[in-house]
Amino acid sequence: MEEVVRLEGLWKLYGGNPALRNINLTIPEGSMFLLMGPNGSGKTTLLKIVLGLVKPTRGVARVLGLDPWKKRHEMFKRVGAMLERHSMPKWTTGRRILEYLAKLKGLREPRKEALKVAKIFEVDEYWDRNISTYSAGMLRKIAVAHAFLGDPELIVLDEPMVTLDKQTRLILRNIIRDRKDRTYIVSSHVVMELEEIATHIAVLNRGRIVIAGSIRDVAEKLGLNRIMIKTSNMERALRILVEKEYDVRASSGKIIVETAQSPKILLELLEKENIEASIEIVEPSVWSIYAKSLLKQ
Amino acid sequence: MFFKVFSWEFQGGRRPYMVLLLYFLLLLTVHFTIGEVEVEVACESYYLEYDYPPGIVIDVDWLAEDIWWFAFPVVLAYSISLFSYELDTGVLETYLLSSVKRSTIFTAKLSAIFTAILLPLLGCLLLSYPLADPLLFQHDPMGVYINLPPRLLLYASMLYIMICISVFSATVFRKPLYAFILPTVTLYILNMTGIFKRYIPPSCFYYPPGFPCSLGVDVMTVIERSMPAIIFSTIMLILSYFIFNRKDIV
Repeated sequence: MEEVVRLEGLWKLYGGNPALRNINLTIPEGSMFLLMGPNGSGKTTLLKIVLGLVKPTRGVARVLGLDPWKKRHEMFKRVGAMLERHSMPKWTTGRRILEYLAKLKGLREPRKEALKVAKIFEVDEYWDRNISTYSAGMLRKIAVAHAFLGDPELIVLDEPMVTLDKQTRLILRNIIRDRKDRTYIVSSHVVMELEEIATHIAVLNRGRIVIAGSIRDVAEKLGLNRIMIKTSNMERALRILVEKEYDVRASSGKIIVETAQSPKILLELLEKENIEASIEIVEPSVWSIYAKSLLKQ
Repeated sequence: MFFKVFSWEFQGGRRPYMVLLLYFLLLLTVHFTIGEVEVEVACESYYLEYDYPPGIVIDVDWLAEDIWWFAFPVVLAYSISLFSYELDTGVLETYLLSSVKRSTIFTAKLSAIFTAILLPLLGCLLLSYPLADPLLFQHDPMGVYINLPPRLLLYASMLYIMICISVFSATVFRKPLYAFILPTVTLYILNMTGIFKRYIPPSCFYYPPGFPCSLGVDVMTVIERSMPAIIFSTIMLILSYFIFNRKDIV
C-alpha cells in the first residue's frame, strides 16, 4: 500500500509554544484514518499543515508526494477538504459559492460538478437561497459538499459530523464506506457513524502522537480486546460480568466486553457459573482505544 | 484564474462599494459646489486681456488636509472589509482549500480595491467640474475638463498612498479594530504636524502668492515632492504581499 501522507519529525511552534512536537506519521492509500485527541491537542494544526495552510516550523510533510506548503495549489487538484470553521461569504448563494469553489479547483465543468455534489448531500433543495439565511447544519452540508467536489483522491474532514443531521451523517458514512479507493483523514469527536468504517487511528495529546496505526495493531499494542459473547443466558451472564466490574455492553442478543484480559479467562468465568457461551474477538471501539491510550500516557 | 477571483472579490465588496461611491459623490460634489468652493478663474480683465480659451484655468481647489480627514477612514474601512485577515480568515481558508494561489487572491483583492476606489473618483470628478462651473459647461462641455488629468493624477496618487497603507494595516493586524485605529491615529497626528500639506498629494501651491492655486505649473512639483511618500507606500504594499503569501492561516 502506498503512503498518501508522510510526516517526519514535524514541529510547529506558535511564539515559542509547541503546538505539535515531533510528529511522525504515515497514512496509507485507501485508509479511513481517524484522528482523535482532546481539545487543544493539535489536531487542527496537524490537518492545516497537511492542507498547506500552516507552515511547519521543523520537519517534513509530504502529501501525495508534494510539499503541501509550497505546492498547495497543485495538491488540491487531487485533494478535497473541509475544516471545522468552514466559513462561507454571506453575500452569495450556496449554488454560486459551490460553482466558484469548483472553478477555483480548476474543474472543467464547474456547474455540473457543483450540481453533482449538491445532489449527493441534498443541498440542491435550498442552495439558491442566500447563505445568510442558512442554519449551521445547512452550512455544514455545503462545506462537506465542497470537500467532495471533483471526486478527490484524498479527503480531509475536520469534525464533519458536528451539526449534521442523522440522515446526512449516514450519507457521509456510506460514501466513505463504499469508496474504498479513496483515502480519508477525519478528525472527529462524534465517531458513532465512523467507528465501524475506520481502518486506522492516531491519538494526539498535547501536540504529541500517543499512538497511531491500524485499529488492530493499536488495539494489540494497548492490550485491548473486544470480546463478543453469545449465550442463551444473557441476563445471568451480564449480571456476573457486571459484578466482576467488566466494561460490558449488551446489544441485539450479544454481550460486548472490552478488556485487556485474555478471552479465555472470560470463558472460564462463565463456565464456572454453568453458563454456556461462545466468544469471538472483534475490533475494539475507537473510544476504548482513545480512552486507554490517554490513560496509559 | 485571476479574472475569476477578481470578479468574485469585486462582487463581494459591492455593498461597501456602494457606500463608498455615495461618499465620494457627496465629498466631491456637495463639498465643492456648495459652500467654500474656489473655482480658479482668473479675474475678468486678465481673462479678456489674454483671451484665454474658457476652461484653461478652471480648477477645483481643495486643501490636502481636508481630503485626508474625509477620505482616509472610508478608504481604510473599505480596504479592511475586503482584505482583513481576521474578518476574512474563515472565508480565506475556504478559498485556499482549492487550487488558487495566494498571490492570485492578493492581486485580485488589491485590483478590486483599486477599481472600486478609482472608478468613483473619476466619476465624481467628471461630475464635480460641470457643477463647479455650469455656465462654462453649457458653453463648452469639454473645456470644463481642461484641468482634469493633472487633478486626477494627484487624487489618484493620494488614494494610492491611502490604499497601500490600508492594505498593509489589514494584512499585518489580525484584529480589524487595530487595523483601523492604529493607522488612523498615526496619520492624523502626522496630518496635524502639517507634513501632509507639504509631501502628500493633492497639495495646492499658491503660485504666484495671493492667487488661487494653479495646477498647470505645479503638478510635477507636487508629484516630485510626494515621491518619498509614494515610494514608502509601495514598499508597504510589497511587504503586505509577502506577509499575505507567507503567513499561516490559523
